Amino acid sequence: MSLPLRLNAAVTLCLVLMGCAGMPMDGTDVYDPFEKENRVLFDASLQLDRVVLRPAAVAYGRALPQRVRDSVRNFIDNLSSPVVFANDVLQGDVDKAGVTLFRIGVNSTIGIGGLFDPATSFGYARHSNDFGLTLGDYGVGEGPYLFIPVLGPTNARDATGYVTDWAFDPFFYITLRENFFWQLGRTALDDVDARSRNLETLDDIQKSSLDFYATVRSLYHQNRESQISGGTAAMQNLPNF
Amino acid sequence: MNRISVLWRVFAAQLLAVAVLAAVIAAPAQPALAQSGNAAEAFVQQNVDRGYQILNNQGLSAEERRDQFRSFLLNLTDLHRIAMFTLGQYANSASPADVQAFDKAFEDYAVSVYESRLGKYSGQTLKVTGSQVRAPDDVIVNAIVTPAPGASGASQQPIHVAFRVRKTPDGRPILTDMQVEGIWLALSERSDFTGFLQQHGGSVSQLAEHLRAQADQVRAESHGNSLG
Repeated sequence: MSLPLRLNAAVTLCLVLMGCAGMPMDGTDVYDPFEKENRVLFDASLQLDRVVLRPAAVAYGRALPQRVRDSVRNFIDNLSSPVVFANDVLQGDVDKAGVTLFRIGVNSTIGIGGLFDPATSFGYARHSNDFGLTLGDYGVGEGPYLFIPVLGPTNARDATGYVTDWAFDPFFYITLRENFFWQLGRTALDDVDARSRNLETLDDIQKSSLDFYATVRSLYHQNRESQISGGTAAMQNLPNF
Repeated sequence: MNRISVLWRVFAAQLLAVAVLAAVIAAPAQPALAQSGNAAEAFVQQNVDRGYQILNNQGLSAEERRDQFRSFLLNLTDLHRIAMFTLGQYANSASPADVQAFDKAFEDYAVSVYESRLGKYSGQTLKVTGSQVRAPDDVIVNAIVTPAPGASGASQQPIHVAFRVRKTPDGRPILTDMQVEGIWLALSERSDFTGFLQQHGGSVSQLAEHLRAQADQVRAESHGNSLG
């Protein structure tokens, strides 16, 4: 499927899902019609984390010194910068797009292919961005909450955005032949590194939650809403108590 | 950015919500704020100063400091209002006795969590950056927490926080919620508790029991973590 077609299909799917999701909410509740299925997948993911991801992250953290792990993180972040840039542009945010472009230029050269992050020390700190946020920026609602193994918490809008973002990723095209294994390796490294940075944090949250599933759902929802609105709309929708 | 990274970020933010309140309250005053006319901003700043005094008072024993901080916290936040909010729709259907037991367990839990974080203050400073008035008795005060110079890695990033300042029936300002990186603590707790209740037949007494157990666990784990 060509790129425009794929984009079109993704957006259509998204709009269809949104259409079914037009139910009123008070701004804090998350629409979760697939809760039963989501909970099953969530529990399975926790088991998978316990058996695979967490041990891998612990081993990774022990095997490599902090400096090497920081370079891994910089490298992965630099690879995802074109996607961030595309969404900065789609959101019409000239300032952010400029920062991202500067970061790609500086970190890919002086930063030796993205292994180092001199751009941050020049005052151009990283921000993340994705097509889920772009859709949210355009006014698309989040649709039903979804928990997808490996991808984690998401919703119809953000899952659509996740797939669409591949189209903005130059490496998706450059490495077309070995693409699957390249993407797999990159994603795996990204996950293991991210997990190793949050071992204690996650353990702590899990321990302090009475219903971990509901907590994650709420955290995800609030965090995304706040990123989309820049905080202002989320403030207006606060419940009265 | 990969979705799992988003998840970890979100986890980190919620943990920070509990960690930061202690740190924030302990942060020194920013002189610029003294000129602010906004009552809610001043309220947050004054309490930041007050908390800082308690944490830095060398004349106090660890135990005295903990006691002072506890009464300070109970005076500063409307834990009862938060507790009722976190029950969601279940607040109406539960028996008064169950609700009362939950209210008590919630206070115990909240205090235990904040106390366990007291020793983690590491030189962050707080700067109130402005406020949004939702209603005369409902103001969001925004602030930035800056880590101490020399903090390493990811902890170098400044953290955006906000406080929700409401009023007691007698017109006194009081904190009802706190936000870290877009995540409100009371909203998250309500999701957690109502999720639990939904899975446990709406039993508020079971919820209270679990909260008490968690408070005990938090205390056991932070035992020996003196406030030094």
